[in-house]
This record gives sequence, structure tokens and C-alpha cells, in this order.
Amino acid sequence: MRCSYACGSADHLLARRQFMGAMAGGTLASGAVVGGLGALAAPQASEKLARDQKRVLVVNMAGGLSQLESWDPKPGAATGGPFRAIETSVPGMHICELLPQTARQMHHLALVRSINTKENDHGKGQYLMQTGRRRTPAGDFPRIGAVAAKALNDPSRSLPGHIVISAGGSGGRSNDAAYLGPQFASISMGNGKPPQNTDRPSAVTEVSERQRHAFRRRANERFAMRRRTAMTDAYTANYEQALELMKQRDVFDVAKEPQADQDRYGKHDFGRHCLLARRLLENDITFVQVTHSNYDTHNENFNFHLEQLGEFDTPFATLIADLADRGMLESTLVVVLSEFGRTPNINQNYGRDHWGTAWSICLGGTGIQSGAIIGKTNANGTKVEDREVDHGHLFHTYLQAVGVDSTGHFDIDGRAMPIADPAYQAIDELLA
Amino acid sequence: MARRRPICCLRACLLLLLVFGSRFDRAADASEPLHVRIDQQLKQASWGSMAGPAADGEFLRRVYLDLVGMVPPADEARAFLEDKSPDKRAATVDRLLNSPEHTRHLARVLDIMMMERRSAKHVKRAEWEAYLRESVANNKPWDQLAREILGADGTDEKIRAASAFYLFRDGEPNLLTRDTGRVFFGMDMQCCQCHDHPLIDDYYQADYYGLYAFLSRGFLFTEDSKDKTVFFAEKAEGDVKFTSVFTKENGRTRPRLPGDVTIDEPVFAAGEEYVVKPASKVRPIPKHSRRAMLAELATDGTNQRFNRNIVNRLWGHMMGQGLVDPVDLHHPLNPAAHPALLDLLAEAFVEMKFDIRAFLRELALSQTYQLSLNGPTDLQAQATQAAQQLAELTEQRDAAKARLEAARREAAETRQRFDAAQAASVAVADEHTNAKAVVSNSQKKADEAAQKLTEAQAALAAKQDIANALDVATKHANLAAAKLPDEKELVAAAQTIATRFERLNAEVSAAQKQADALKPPAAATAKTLADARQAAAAVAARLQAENKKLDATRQPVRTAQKKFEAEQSSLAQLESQLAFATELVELRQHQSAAQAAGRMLETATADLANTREMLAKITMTRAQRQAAVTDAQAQHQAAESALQQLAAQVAGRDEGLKLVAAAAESARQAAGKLPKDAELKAAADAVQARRAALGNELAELQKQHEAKRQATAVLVERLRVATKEYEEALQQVAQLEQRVASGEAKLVEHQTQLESEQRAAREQREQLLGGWSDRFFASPIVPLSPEQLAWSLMQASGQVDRQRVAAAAEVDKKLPLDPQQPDDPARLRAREQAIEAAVYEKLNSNVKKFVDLFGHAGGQPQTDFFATVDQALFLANAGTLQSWLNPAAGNLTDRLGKIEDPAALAEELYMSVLTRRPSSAEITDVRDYLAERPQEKPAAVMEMAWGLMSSAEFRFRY
Repeated sequence: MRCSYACGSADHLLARRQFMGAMAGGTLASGAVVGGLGALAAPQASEKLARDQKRVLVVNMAGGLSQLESWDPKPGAATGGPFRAIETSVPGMHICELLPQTARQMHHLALVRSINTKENDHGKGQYLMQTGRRRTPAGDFPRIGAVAAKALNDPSRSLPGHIVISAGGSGGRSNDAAYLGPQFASISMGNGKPPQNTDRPSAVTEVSERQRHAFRRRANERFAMRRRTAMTDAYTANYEQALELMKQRDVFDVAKEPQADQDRYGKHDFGRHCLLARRLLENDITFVQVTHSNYDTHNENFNFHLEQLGEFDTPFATLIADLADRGMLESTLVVVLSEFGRTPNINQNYGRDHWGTAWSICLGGTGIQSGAIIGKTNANGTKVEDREVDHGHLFHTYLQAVGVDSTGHFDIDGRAMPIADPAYQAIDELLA
Repeated sequence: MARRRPICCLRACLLLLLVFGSRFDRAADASEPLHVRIDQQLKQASWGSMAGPAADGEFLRRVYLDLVGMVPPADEARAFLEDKSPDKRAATVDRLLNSPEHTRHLARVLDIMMMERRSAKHVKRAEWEAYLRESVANNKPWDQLAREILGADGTDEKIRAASAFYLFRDGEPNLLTRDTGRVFFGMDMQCCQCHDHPLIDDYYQADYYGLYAFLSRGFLFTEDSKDKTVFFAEKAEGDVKFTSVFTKENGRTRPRLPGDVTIDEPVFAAGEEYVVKPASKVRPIPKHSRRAMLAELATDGTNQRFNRNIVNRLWGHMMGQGLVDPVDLHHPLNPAAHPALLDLLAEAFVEMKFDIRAFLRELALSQTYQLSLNGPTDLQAQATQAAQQLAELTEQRDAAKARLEAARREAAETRQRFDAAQAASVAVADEHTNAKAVVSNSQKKADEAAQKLTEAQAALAAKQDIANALDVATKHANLAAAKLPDEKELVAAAQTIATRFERLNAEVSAAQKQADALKPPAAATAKTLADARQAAAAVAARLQAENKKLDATRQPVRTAQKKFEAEQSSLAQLESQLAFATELVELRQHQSAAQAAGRMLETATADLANTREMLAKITMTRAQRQAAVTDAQAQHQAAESALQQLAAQVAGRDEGLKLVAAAAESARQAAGKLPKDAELKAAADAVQARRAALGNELAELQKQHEAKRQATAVLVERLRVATKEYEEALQQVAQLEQRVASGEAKLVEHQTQLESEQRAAREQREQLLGGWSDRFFASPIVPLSPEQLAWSLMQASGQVDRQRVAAAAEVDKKLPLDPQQPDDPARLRAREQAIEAAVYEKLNSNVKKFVDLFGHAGGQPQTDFFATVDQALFLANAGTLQSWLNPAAGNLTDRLGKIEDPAALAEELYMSVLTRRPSSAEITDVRDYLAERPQEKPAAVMEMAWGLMSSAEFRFRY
């Protein structure tokens, strides 16, 4: 009954060795998940990290973007709807005419047109696209942003590694890191507002601030003479990071961007959020998510998509062009995803319904073959015809694109947790 | 050699004691209290190299945090420090264990342990918390608490909340299996849901499904559509099959506790499985409840994993971390820090009838609990001892390995026999299931046939009944008609009746025929059923026989398994000893190297100093010699110039003399030619005389010159010597300077070496200190839980006290103490409880924010430490802590503001926040802080209080 299957694979061996090493090393699991010490102690290493820093931007088309009105148009088919397909900057690649600006940027991007997630529920669809796994009652999985923050972020940095720009909310920490731990959970910027408690209280003067921190440091130094552990170091370092973050508060302020850029991106929320995303990425925030809502078009699918994509097209295309201009696409992965697509069948309300059976996403940037088209659907878009993939493959692909070995494990307090679902692999032909 | 022998024997004995220590100790010391036995074990394991006892303040802070969940108030800390009684620590432990705050805190600890901050479902959170609080208040033994929780279906009104463990998890069997395994058996087998654990040899998919089988028949049930109370009901059917996603192998299992064999289950005849059969809106009650079996078997005191799990968790709660850590990963690759101690604790806990309070008390009274944070300093003796025993330990370890292998083989063999018996049983059980299906099928057919027959017979009987009546009626009518033949109507009626009777007779015989026709099938199906029953009963009997055979193989498996696990413990114990010994020896090596480097540095320093001194001396000599050279040069120069002057004089005189001599000669010759010229002769004589005088003078001068020349030659020699000496000195200085330079370089080198050795020793020491606290040879340093942090901040800042005062006034007004019996313990206790409840009510809402920021997400393990920037931002900038630090009647900053003397202020500050008196450096720090801003004392006081509350010393329990 020995588990011989596991011992053949390099990953299992590796994780096992690390695991046993940790056990044998005499550090009988201090229980600490702390970061930043090594990097703090070795500034060169952290500079190197900063140079090689990969970033991820996710644009979440909430509600279920219609693939037929975006990445996989079927003009002329019974299911095709009223819109034309237009040429893009990639010869032979056509997308829907609702995305004229984006069409000019497609040479930076790629399409996956053969997604079958077999899931037509909003919540479950979001969950599996964000975590790469199906939701099970027995265990929760971390979202892509938490995984990226854990795998990519230099923990010595003061700025959070995982930011979700949301439509509203108080701007606190979310609960989306599962077993990776809250230190990798997203900090939400409710409608672009900066994170909580980044302002010095008005009652505390500058002198007070300086002196109370100095007093705290002296207390810590004295205690460190008695006992110093990775945990105490992490805790004390955190206050320094907090002070650093307060200094860098402007990073979260999109109003600091030039007026011309604010005009280019547009005055509406999505435009501002895209510009904010650029600002955050430029400041080396590892993971940023922007949401565009709402694509759940059971009624009037065509009018809604006309309106919604009309708002989406310019800021998104501007963002891609800017990232490309600044050389940032070489280190930034961009993914435009949704919880599912929409039915080829047009219902009696001129709407399209939930459809996880044959739909598309758009992605590009670091690690991704520009201009690639993966898979295809049949003429009416009712079925995947070639290279069927789902959330599991995509999740591996995102991670491999930013240089993370998605077949490896995270060591979580002595538990080896697979980074992505071990039953899947990346879409190799999509990777650059 | 002969002399060493006794020592060797002694060592061997000690070793034996170490190896089998636990078993011998238990036999020897069973009369000793548990805390003494714990200390004995750890003293042995550490070779006596444990940390010293914690200072009073350190102990008090620790015991408050562990038993009541917050730091102590300043006045109690001060009183404790000043208390001179020798048993004050034990008294404090007892007082705290009996406080309502302890009930609240331990209930919360158990809640987090079992629910991991999961949100409530189907049972109100308040009810669950009240259930736990009541259980803790009544000191319900752990076995009973666990039995109630694991056996709960939610129907028992008194302990309905016990079902929360299942119901909060929606009764989902996989989630329940995972968490039951983790919480009650210390085994996180989540991976095993889909395959054998890839990294842990001992976690099998079959283990997972063995536990799953206890729970998989459970389902959520609501009786009433109006009253939506949810129960966790159970079916009598459902077998467990599984497939590995990796190997695609199929498996099936009966219920089985981790580490045990499958349980024996009763065999029921078809249709006899339920007390209450399932039906619409009826909650079924099976005769045999697997869940009840789980509750029963897990808690009967014989399941080692169940017992070890709870003592490890309680130990972890008190000692900062489990002997096995993480607490839900018990397996051979992650052995206990002291396997024998874990076994001892488990056995002792069972012996003390799972009494949680008594167990916590024993832990708190142990010296182990009361160790200092700092490790020991001198390790010479221990390291030497460890070094001596390394080889023997290694030998023992190898022997233990061999024993373990033998035990493993035996366990495997017994298990194989069990598996074979089980396979036979399973085969018959399958037959039985089939036979029961046949019975139930035959039953259906027999029932149908019998039903039909019954109906036909009933129809026949009904007709017969009418026929009988008509028969009588016909007879009577005929009789009447015979007597009154003229009554035509009567005759006709009799005729009608007779006809009707005949017709009915025909119907009766038809019905009879029909009924007769139904009899054989009814009999046949009845027979089939009887046969099926008989067959099933026969199979059942066979199954029972197989199960009996199977049962006979259980005990050997358990015995072998126990032996195997004991050997595992013993090996792990030795491995742990070996690792510790190796660490000690390495540390000692690093310390020796550092000492050697230190000595070399000292020598080099001395050498250098020596050389420097010599250099200084010779440098002085060189200067003197240089002066001598200069002096000799000057003298020589002066002498030389005098000599030259003399020479010039000699030359001048010589010239003059030559002229005079020529004149004298000319005069003499002239006089000779004029001999009579007396004047001439006189003149010639005068010239001659002058010439002679001049000749004499010249001779004198020449003599002088010669003397001077000789003196100068002496001076030249002197100069030469002085120059030579000077040159020698120069050379020596250069040499010494070189020596100094190389000495300095050497010094730097030695210093670097010393530093690196010292660093290595320090790192080794820090690592060892980590290992020390991991082994409980020094107190571990662990983060406060979010609740401990919140309540400690409220305590330290004075919020708790303020609320206590208010609550006490309120309580005393509502329920004044009886003046006749002011010391009535029941009354006092009730008062304390009321005050605690009121304070909790007032302040608990503050805790949520801390849980959100410092706690893990619901359903995740809650023990890992993490530090995020938003925590620091919250404590630094949010209104919560700031508002607690604003001076308000009686709170910390208010009290501090009223103290004039900086030293007294520092004392109050440190006592309130860190439960200790400040050091002199800390008093100076406070004094300087206040002195720097004399006009801003309130702000300064708030800042210092904040500084300490946000310090690492406050954030951690140590």
C-alpha cells in the first residue's frame, strides 16, 4: 500500500526532500510564516528581485462576457448576432467590431477560444476561474492574486503585493488567500480609495510620531537582546514597512497622474481604474485586478454589449499600448477573464444566457505568445472543436507565463500544497 | 580501561533509562504527581541543560495569558511580585483556573480548536459557545465532551449545541472526515480523499475512508417545514468505496478509526435495520448507528491517537507549541519532540479520567512550564556528556531501527491475517446483502400474492355470508310459501329468493374457484420467501461466524500495532536525543573555536603591543643617533675648516719663509762680496735671523697642523661610527614597522576570524535556543492570539479595569452581598461571574477587528503566525488603540499622568504593559523622554504606552 506513484515524480521527490529536510533540521516547525527578513538583510538580493519582478493584471469582466460579441465572433451564423467581425493587428485574427481600439493592440495579445468549464453558476464560475479549481466543501483554495503574491512578491517591499480595485467597499483585507495565509490576501481599493489606516492620526504630531517609533524601536532592541526569532523580527519589521507605505501613499492616488493621461483613459470608473492599475503596476505591485461590470445580459445582450464594450475598449486598449510602450509587457501578464461566456442561442428577450461550454479569454504580455489563437469552436459556436481546455489548464498557464513552476508545491507550515491542480498542465503552445 | 568500566555501566544504565525511560519512570514514579514526572523526563532528555526558572513577572504574564487570555492588571502583578510566600505560583494557578475568566477563555480556545473561526450554521453561535462554557465551567471530562460532540444528532435538547461540529460543516461527509481526523485524532488526511498521501507514508486513502465510513451515512434532516430545526440524521445503508486518482485502484472499507482495524458491526435480517424506518418527514433511527460507534470507540480511552491528540493540543495551549507540531500532523516523519513524554501524558490523562482542568493544572505547576525564555549559558558539562554518548546513542538507535523493522513486519503479518479474514467476511457480507435483496424481493412478491389471495378470500367470504343469509331466507320463505300457498306474492317472493340464492351459489363457487386458484401462488411465493429468509439467515449465520473469526484476528493486530507504535516512539526518542546531542556537540565546537580564536587574538594583540613598544624605543634611539651624527658632522666640519685655515697659514708662512730665505741668501752673498760692510752684514744677519725665526714659526705651525689633522681624523672616524649606528637604527625601525604592520594585519585577521566564530557560535546558539524551546528546555516565544492581543491591550490600557469597576458597582447594587455572610463563597462566585459577564458584554465587540486582522480565515488552521502591514497600520493609526490611550478616569495614561517621579511613572508603565519592573536603562529612557518635552507630558505618556504596546515583547507570549 505504499504510495509508489508519488515517488517517481520529480516534484513529489523535491517537496518530500524539503519536507524531510525541514523536519530533520531541528527546526521543529516554529509555526512561523514570515517574510522579508532575508531580503531585508540582503539589499542586493531584493534589488535583483525588483529587476526581475513579474507582475499580473487581471481584468475581470464580471457577469459573463459574451465570447460572440468579443473574442470569438461568428458573423453570419444563426447564433452570430448583429455585429461584424473586424480585422486586427494580427493578420487573420478577427474580433468583434465592438472592440476597434483593442483590435489594434492584438499583436500584444493572444486568444484562447476553446474553454469548456462546464459551469454555468456565477459564483462557482468566478471561483474556478480565479483559483484554477472547482469549489469543494472540504477545502478552500487561494485565488490567483494570492498565489502570485506568494510566488512573486518580494516580501521586504512595503507596498501590498495583491490589490483588487473594486467598485466600492471599505478598502480592507479580503479573505481570498485560503491556506496561503492572510498575508497574501488582497487589499481592496474600494473605488480606488487607498488602503485603510495609511494616514497618521491627526492627534499625533510629526515629533510624536518620530519619538514614539524611536521608543518602540529601543524597546524592541532591548527585547532582542534576550530573544530574537524570525517571528519577532517580522513583527518589528512590519512597523517599518508601515511607515514606508505611509510615505508612498501617493502610489494609490490616481489624481497624481498627468491630466492628459486621465483624459486618455476616460473619466468613468473603469477608465480611472485602468489608469490606477497602470500606476500600481509601474510601482511594482505584483498583482492588480480591475473589474468591469456587468455583462450578465439575459436581456438585450446586444445593446448591453454595445454599451459596455464601448466603455471597455478605449481604456483597455490604452492600457495595453502604454504597458507596451513602457516595456512593461515584457514583465507583466495581462488576463481578461470572466466567469463564463454566453449562450450562442439568443433567447426571446434578445439576451444570451450563462454558458460555460465553449467560450474565450484574452491574455498577453510576459511569457505568452503574442498573436496566438488557441483552439476553436464550431461554426455556430455551440461546441469546442479543437484543443479543449478549462480553468485548470489556464491557471497553470498564467503561472508558467510569469515563471512560476506551477507543478511545484508551497510548503505551508510543513504541509506541501500543490501550487496548481496537479491533475492539469499548462497550455504549452501558448507559452512564449 | 578497567577504571572506565563502572562509568560505562552507569552510562549504559542511564541510556537504558533514556530509551525505555518512559516505561520505567511510570512504573517507578506513578505515585509522583504528573508535573514532577514531566520534569523528570525533560531533565533527563536535556542532560540538565535546561533554562533557569522564569522570573515572577514572566511567569505571571504567561499564566494569565494561558489561563485567562490576557495580561494581568498592574496591581495584581505588583502584589504577586511582592508576595513572599513560597507557594504563590501554585496558588495563582488555582485561583485563575477557578475564575470565570478562565471558563470564558478555555471555552474560546476549545471553540477555535474545533471550529477554526468557521461561521455558524443550523445552530446559533451563542448556543454553541454557551454549551462549551457550561462544559468548561462544570469541568466536563474531555472524553464526555468529545463523545457528546461526535455522537450528536441534534435531537437531545439538553446538548443540542453539541451537534454544531457537524452542523456548522453542513454535514458534508468529506469535510467532516477531514476535520474529525484533524481535530480529534491529530491527522490531516485531506490528501487521502483522492489518493494515499504523497509525502506521509502512514496516511492512506483507506484511513481516510475508514473514518469517512463512520460519517457518510449522516445527512441533514428537517422534520417540520415550519420549525426549521436541522438535525444530523443517519441511514442504515451506504457502503464506502473509493478509487485512487493516481493508481486508479479501487478500495472499499468498513468503518475504521485511524491506526486501528475495522470495527465489528451487527448483522441484521432484512427489514430489521431500523428502530424507526425512513419515511416521508420521518427521521429514521438505525438500530446500529455508526456515528454513535465513532463517539464510543474514539473516547473509550484505548485509542492512542485520540488520547495523544488531545494531550498534545492541551500541551500546545499551555506550552506555546505542541510536542507534535503542527498539532494535526501526527506521523512518524514528524515525531513528538519527546515521544516518551507524549505517551506518558496520554496515559496519565486517561488515568485522570480526561479531567482537563486537573491536567492544565499539572502542566502549569511543572518546572517545564515555568522555565525562562533564556537558554542556559554554560554547556561544557552537557556537551562533554553528549559527545561521550554519541556513539552509544547511534548504536542504540540502530538497534531500535532493527526492532522497529521487526515490529513492522509483525504488524504487517497480523494485519494480513486480519485482511484475509476481512476479505472472507466481506465476501459473505456481499452474499448477505444479495440474500437480503432476494428476501426483500420475495417479500414483495409473497406480499402481493398473499394480498390477492386475501382479497379473493374476503370476496368469497362476503358472498358466502350473503349466500348463507339467502339460504336461511330461502328455507324460511319456502316454508312460509308451503304453509300459505295462496299467497301468490309470497310464493313469487320465495321463488325470487330461491333463484337469487341459486345465482349466488354459483357466484360463491366461482369465487371459491378463484380463491383456490390463488392459493398455490401464494403458497409458492410464501415458500420462496421462507426459503429466501432461511437462505439469508444461513448467510447471516455464516457472516456472523466469519465476523467472529475476523474478530479473533483483531486483538493480535492491535497488540502488534501498539508494539509497532511503541517502537516508533522509542526510535523517535533516540533520534531526538541524537539530534540534540549532535547540536550540543556542534555548539560546543563552535564555542571552542570561538574561544581558540579569542585566545589567538589575545596573543596577537600582545605580540603587537610588544613590537610597538620596541618600535617606540628604537625610534627614540634612532633620533638620538641621528642627533649624534649631526653633532659629529658639525664637529668634523669645524675641525676640517680649522685644519684648512692652519694649512693656509702654513702655506703662507712657507711662502714668506721662502722669500725671506731668498732674501737672506741674497743678503749673505752680497755681504760676502762686501765683507766690510758691517751694515750690510748686520742687515744680512738680521734677515738670516728673521729667516730662522720664521723657520721656527713655520715648524710650529706645521706641528699644529699635524696635530689638528690627527684630531680631524678622529672626528671623521666618530662621524663614520655615528652614521653607521644611525643607519642601523633606521634599519631596525623599518623592520619593526614592518612587524607592526604585519602584526596589525594579523590582528585584523584574528579579529575577523573571532567574529566569524562568534557569529557561528551565536547562530548555532540561536538555532539551539530555537531547538531548546522546540524541546521545551526553554520557554518558547509564541504570538498572542487575536483575542489575547485585543484583551491584553484592553487590560494594559485600563479598559478592563474601568469596566470592572462599573460592573462591580452595578452588580453590588442589584445583588448586594449579605452583610451577615460577606464571605459566602457561592455568593462571591456568582458576583465574580456577573462582573465577568458584564465586562465581556461591554468590551467583546472590540475583539472582532483584531480577529479580522490578526486571525486566519474561517476554516483554516489558526496557529501559524503572520505579520502584515495592515496590522501595524491598524495599531499605529486606527482610532481603536488611540482612543484607549486617551486619558480617562483611572485608565493607564490617566494614572501615569498623575505620577510626578519619572522612575515611579516608568514602574507603573512597565508593570501595566509588560508585567515587570523597568531596568535602570529603561527608567533613564522614560526620564529622558519626559525631560525632552516637559510641556507635553500627556502626549509623551501616550506615546510611550503605545511604544510598549506595539513592541515585540507585548505581541508575544514567552
